[in-house]
Amino acid sequence: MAGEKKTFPPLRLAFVVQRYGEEVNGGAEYHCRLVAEHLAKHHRVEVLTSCAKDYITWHNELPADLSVVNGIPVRRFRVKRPRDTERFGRISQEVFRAPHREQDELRWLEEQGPYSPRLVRYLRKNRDRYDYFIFFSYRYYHSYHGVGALADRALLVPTAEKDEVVHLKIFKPFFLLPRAIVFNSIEERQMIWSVAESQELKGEVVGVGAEVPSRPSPEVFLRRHAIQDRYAIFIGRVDENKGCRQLFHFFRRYKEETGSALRLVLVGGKTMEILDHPAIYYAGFLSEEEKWSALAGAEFLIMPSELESLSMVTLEAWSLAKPVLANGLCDVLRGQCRRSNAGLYYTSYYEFREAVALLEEDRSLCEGLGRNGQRFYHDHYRWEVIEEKYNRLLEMLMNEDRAASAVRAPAPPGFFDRWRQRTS
Amino acid sequence: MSTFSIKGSDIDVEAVMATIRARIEEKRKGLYTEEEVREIAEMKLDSVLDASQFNSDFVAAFRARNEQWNFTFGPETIYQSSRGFAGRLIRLARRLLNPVLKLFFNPGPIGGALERQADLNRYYVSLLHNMAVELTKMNLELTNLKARLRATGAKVEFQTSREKVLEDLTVSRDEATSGPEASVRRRARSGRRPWRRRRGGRENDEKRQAERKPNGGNSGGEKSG
Repeated sequence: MAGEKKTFPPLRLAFVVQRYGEEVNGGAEYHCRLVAEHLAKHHRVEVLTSCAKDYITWHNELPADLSVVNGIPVRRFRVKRPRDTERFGRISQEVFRAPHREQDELRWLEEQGPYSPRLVRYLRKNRDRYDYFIFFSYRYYHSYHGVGALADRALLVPTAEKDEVVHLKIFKPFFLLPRAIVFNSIEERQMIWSVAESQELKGEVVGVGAEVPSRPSPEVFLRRHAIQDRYAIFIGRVDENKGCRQLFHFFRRYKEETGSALRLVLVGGKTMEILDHPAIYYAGFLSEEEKWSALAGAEFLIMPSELESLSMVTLEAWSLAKPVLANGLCDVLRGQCRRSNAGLYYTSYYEFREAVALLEEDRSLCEGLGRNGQRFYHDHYRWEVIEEKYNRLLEMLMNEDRAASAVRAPAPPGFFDRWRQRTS
Repeated sequence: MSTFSIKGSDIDVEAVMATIRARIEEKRKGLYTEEEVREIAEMKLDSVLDASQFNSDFVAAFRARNEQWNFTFGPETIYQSSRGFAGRLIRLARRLLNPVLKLFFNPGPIGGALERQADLNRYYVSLLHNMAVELTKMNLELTNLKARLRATGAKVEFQTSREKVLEDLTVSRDEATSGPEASVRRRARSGRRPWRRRRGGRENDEKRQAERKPNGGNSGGEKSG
């Protein structure tokens, strides 16, 4: 499968995403950047995005022009108005907690931001400049209206989580629109099938690869941060929505009950207070290289988030043969752990305690899980595999388009043709 | 599309998870700590509070008719009027006069509080409904347990009386076997058992009697002759 080569000419692809850039660290945005950079090897890729950097305010922080990021042309469009948090909160209450109309949901979409009608206008006007448009994140204004305007050329990477947004009425017909959907996981596909009430949606479970360094050295990280004990690691935004509060309490209780010497290292930005405990160490936001070093030195990765469409950091851990302890309430993570046989999961403190103890004590289990993870990553998430899946999907759409244009009836004769026919 | 399943080496995550659950169960067989009891109680309460678990049409219907029993209060409510076109003018006038109103008092917090109260009402309805559902389930379980208890009681009663009868029987048999005429009675009883007639009934008995007699046993002939 991965060995198959692309046999069709390069296409003009537009990636449409809410934010873009090396400094933007959101999951879907990073996912988009990686896919765009890898598909640029095969196609002519351009990115269409907003001028925003902050996903809460959507303030215009970057210039609205054409720039280049890692060799990819990026066209930015201004956000018409930043998010009014009070108004957004009010309409969210209305939409999620009270009877409402579809109009309210569309208003919610606008209020959520990034509200950039210019971007959508550009898409409408320049539809012929690109062969296909790949939209990232179903839940934003640009995707909803962009896919609506360019349904026959749109691919959607929904990055959908199991939250209440996906159940809004406007999204049921929306998921039927794009030519193909690039799912992140089997669970995500199942959820979207059930929302759209259709299993006929074209698409494939693809996901995303990781930029695995050839030799990450944990020593650098351990020396710099003066860590001597064995540690479990959490990588990502330290945020309540990521399940960090529960993780802190579980970990503290585990330490109190078992007297274990295990430490918890946190890597990433933070939006909440971190529990003050000698065994919990916050390393902060690290460079890619240092992040990989930290991961390489860990015993296992903890993924406490309940809402994930595909945890990239989980795949990164598996790529380094590190086992994962995931929140079992997240269908995607639980499914990935089961399919790969490379991670344990918990749904209560007791399961957390037993699983951590097992991973801490049983080295052969840890190594076996890690090996399985590495194999799973190699089979399904290597970049060659991901690129091949995207190319196969694009080729399928291209073949369909060609077949449709061949079948299409020739244009009826114009006035002069008819006049010529009559006179002859 | 490739299916994502690897049965890697000899590790099966499901089996490991089953072991973990078994270990938890094993530990829970002992006494619970105060904290564990509290946590279990909380877990129970959580499940009661989670309306989605009951999948009840009642809640959905009740929520759908929210406006019939609950009041809706938004930032525009205080300006609204239900008098059609005139109402629109009134609303406009009220909005225009809002700054004047604000000179006397700030209606903002009142609106916020009422909005919150409407949310709370909705929440309490769900909560009460879920508690009612839980109570009903408990009642059903109680009724079921009562019925089972009654049946078990009847069985125990029957077994007790049977036991008593068997005890009496054993005592009487012991008395019978220990007496002086015991062997005579035993021999007499060995011919046939009084509580069970064999197939063939009286005819068989007569035949057996005849066999015991040395002359071939035509007792009837003797009697008649």
